[in-house]
Amino acid sequence: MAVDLAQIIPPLIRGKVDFILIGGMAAILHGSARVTFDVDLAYSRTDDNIERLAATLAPHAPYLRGAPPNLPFTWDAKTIRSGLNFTLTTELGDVDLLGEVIGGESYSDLLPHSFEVEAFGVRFKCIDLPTLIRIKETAGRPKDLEAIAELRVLLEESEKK
Amino acid sequence: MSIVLQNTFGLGGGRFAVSRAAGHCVILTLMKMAAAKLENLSERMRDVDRTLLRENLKLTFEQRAHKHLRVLQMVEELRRVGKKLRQKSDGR
Repeated sequence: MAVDLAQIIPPLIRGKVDFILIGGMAAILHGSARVTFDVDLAYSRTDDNIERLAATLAPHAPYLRGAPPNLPFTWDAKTIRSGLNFTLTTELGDVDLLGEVIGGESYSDLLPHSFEVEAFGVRFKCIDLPTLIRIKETAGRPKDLEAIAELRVLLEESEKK
Repeated sequence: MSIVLQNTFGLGGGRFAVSRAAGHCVILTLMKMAAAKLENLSERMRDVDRTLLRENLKLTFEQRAHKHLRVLQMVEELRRVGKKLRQKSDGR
């Protein structure tokens, strides 16, 4: 299923969920020409936000991606509190919810490195380009090397503007 | 690494000389690795199609997301067709 930001972001904003768009979709918004198949969101781990996140995603049938069907998986605030990072399939597409990104940074650590994007009829937070590059470099995954090179070029091109 | 530690603890004489050389060797290796990584990144950056990125940068955030969605939908369609073809050739 092709993941559509226009379907995923507005319900989260309407549900007052605190999150920052990171990963490949953030790279797309920064101008990347690479294809990505899921949405990565760094979410706030406050009690209230966890409640809101659970309630907002619940109607969209979240389930553990790649897990066998019919596991006793319940999507609720208790599950989110017991875990940290979740790779989910939903009716809206694949979503990765990250309580912490590689390097141990949380939503509140990333917040000063985010900016507001106005799109799909809402305003939401997206990670800035230098931080996106730093996160990918910290992850050090071989598959990210080309993405990092592209993001660095994007940074150069954006600075020229 | 242990040789470098010997140096740190101030073992003297010939061993110190060996330790120092080993320490330099480690530093040089690390510097070489860092330089190679940078060189590698510069090479990869040279391979990036800047014209494509410049076109994207002219778009709004929303237009970039829609463009990506259209590409994703095309990829999914190609996957579907590929799966159908494979099933056909398998006689299923």
